[in-house]
Amino acid sequence: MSPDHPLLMPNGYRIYTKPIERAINVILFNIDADHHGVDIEGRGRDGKTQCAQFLANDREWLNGRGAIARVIVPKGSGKTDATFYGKLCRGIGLKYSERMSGDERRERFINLLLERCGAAGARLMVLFLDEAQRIQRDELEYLVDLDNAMENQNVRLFIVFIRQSDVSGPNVRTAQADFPSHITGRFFMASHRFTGLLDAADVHHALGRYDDKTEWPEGSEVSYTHASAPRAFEKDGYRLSHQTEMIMSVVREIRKEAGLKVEADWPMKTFCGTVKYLLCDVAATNPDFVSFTDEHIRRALRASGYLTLEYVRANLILDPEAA
Amino acid sequence: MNSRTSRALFDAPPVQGLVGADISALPFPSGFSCLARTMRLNGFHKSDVFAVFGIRVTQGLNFLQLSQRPGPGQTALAKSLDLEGTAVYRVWSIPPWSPIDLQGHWDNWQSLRLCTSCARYGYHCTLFQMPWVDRCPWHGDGLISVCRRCLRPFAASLAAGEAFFRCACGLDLFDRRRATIDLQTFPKALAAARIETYLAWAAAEAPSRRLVLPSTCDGWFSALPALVRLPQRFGGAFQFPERSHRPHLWKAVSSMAHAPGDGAFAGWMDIRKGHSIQLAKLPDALRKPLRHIGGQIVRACPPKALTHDEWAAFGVALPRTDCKEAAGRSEFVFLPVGRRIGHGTWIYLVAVIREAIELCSHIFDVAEQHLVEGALMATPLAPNIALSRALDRVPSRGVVLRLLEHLLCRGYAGGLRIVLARQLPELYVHAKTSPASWLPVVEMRIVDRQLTEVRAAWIKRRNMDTDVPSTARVSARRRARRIQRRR
Repeated sequence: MSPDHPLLMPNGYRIYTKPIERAINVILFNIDADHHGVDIEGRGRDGKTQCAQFLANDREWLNGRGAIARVIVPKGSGKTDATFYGKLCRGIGLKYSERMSGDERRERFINLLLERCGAAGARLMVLFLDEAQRIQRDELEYLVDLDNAMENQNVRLFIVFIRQSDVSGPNVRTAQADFPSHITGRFFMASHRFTGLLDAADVHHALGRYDDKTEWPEGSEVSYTHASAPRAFEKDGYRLSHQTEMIMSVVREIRKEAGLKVEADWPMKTFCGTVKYLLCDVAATNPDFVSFTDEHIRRALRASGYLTLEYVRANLILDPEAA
Repeated sequence: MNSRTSRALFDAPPVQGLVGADISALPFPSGFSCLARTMRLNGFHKSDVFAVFGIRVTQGLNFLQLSQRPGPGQTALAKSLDLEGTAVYRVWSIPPWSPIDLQGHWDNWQSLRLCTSCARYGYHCTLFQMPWVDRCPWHGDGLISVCRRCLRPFAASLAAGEAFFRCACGLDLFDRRRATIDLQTFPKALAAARIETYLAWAAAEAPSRRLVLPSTCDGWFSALPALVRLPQRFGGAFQFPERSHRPHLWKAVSSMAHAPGDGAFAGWMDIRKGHSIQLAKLPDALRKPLRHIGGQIVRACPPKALTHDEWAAFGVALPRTDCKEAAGRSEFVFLPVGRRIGHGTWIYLVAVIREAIELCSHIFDVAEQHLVEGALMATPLAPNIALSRALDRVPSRGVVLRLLEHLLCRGYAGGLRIVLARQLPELYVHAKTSPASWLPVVEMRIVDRQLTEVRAAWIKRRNMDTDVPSTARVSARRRARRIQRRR
């Protein structure tokens, strides 16, 4: 396998999964419902950021209805408009805002959103605010200003708040009841819980992407599974997704042995780590590869840190032996 | 053409962290346009320019010129906008837009010219700065350089509180909505097609067309609209058909000029060094036309304006009683062309516009470099003699000679009027004889060492004070009017 294969690159690839599809459906439904925002929350490492990146880079899901921008909300303590819009400017990648007033920063940010709408030829701006749990309650008023300003320009702003639910700090969702109606009515009329891969069907779909929906080099029609196990792929018709049941049964066994609830969603972080290990460290290094064994899958799960993350998510103390 | 796809369509950070730096929707924007648009959309002030663009702003710094002149400022601007090495950057300078090789002449004359429709998008193209273009080729609007409300020129520099595309009176041509969300309404395809056609034409023309200028000639650019002829196929896209600012134009083509015999250039070598001498020998063939010109100018004066001897010097015989009685002016003796010294025909160069003499000299230099075969100059003869003999072998010598004759005759007509007018206010009575300093600008089209066409445009000098002091001019006009009233 080539050393510059996307599987070997940090953050080198993104695949379309069922949880992303569910998130898209929620966003589109709320856009159609004429809301101005939606709250998407999920636990750490479920793939929320990857989802936002995927959606921001692939505009097809919007059917050309709008432009997309993504801001990673930086951590900051100030509560003035200058601080807030400064954070937005910085988060979206605008430089040289340090000496500007709050109004100037807001206008600049709006100009960028308008410019993106212009490039897309659309009157809808879908703005992903990643790490939205960092937005203070008072700062939501600034987003209302932003929404109003965009409306004045005849452009509809739709904000997707992507929020991690298991961190400390102000929780937008729990405080929703206290929000004034104009804020709830605009941005929080609906919420969605983003999860990892929920069941065998989700896992089968995700593994199938490695079989036939990925490609490298571009235009080669060689999928990631094909590149890792070319002989088995071509001669024996091997597909990673064919082993879904086996992989899921090993996962269930490991969870049972670790004292965890057997049925749980699989975070994308450890799912991708497991697949990477299987393809790159097992299949690609064995010229006589036929299919993965239970032992291969156990090793891959261990290498991906599956149990470590599951313990953290379940608020349990990690048993070093099990990890 | 700029081949970039808009990065705004992807989840990529803004180009260089700036709003408006993504210029993929605008065809060939000028460096000034890129800077001004970015400044407006980001809300930058003068004090931000150094941090953002790496340009140190000095008092009255002209950003238009900075972006057009190759140098550290232009490079810094391109680098800050991530445009270095792009097709857009390559046409920021003037030469790609000029169909005439300007020989590096491009001075500080130009003020910012805008199309009001383009300015709404924050767009300006170097094409608009070309003096022969007076309308936006895609919007059809006339280009303006002053505010239509207060007539102040649009600023290309940043004084306190000023912004690009906005006049000090408050009239703002820039429209934020047009520049962002409605940017796709800019007629990009039409503009790109027109610009590409124009650039291809200019690139094809420039190698064969040379501009010859006097060294001290303010405002030579006003000759360019006449010298630069846009092809018919452009239609009226670049110029209004009823253009009125055409300077006087003279032209000669090789097919119309008959080739003179040997030795035709031998008599011109004094003119070639005319800048350093006062009395120059002329080819005999020029004596008659020059004397005719002098006679025509003087005849416009009433008899009492000149003494009998002065009339005689210009070849006009009048009864002594009709002429001025006072003593003659000694300098008048030298003005007419004549066989006064030795056997040759001589001319005092004080009576010829000095720029015309200088241009004759330049034309010999151009001929030596571009028309004459190098081998013909490699003789033991004196350089001037070698050149005059080498020119006798040039097939297009007839055009060269016609151009030289034209410059000298017209230069004499203008120079003589100026010198005479210092003493004869009567000359001001007739517009035709009234002195005005006209300056020549010449374009030579040279293809394969053949001069196929020459064009000389005569432009009015901006400031005639060097020849006739303005106070003297005014008082002379008053005297002339007084004389007229008495009659």
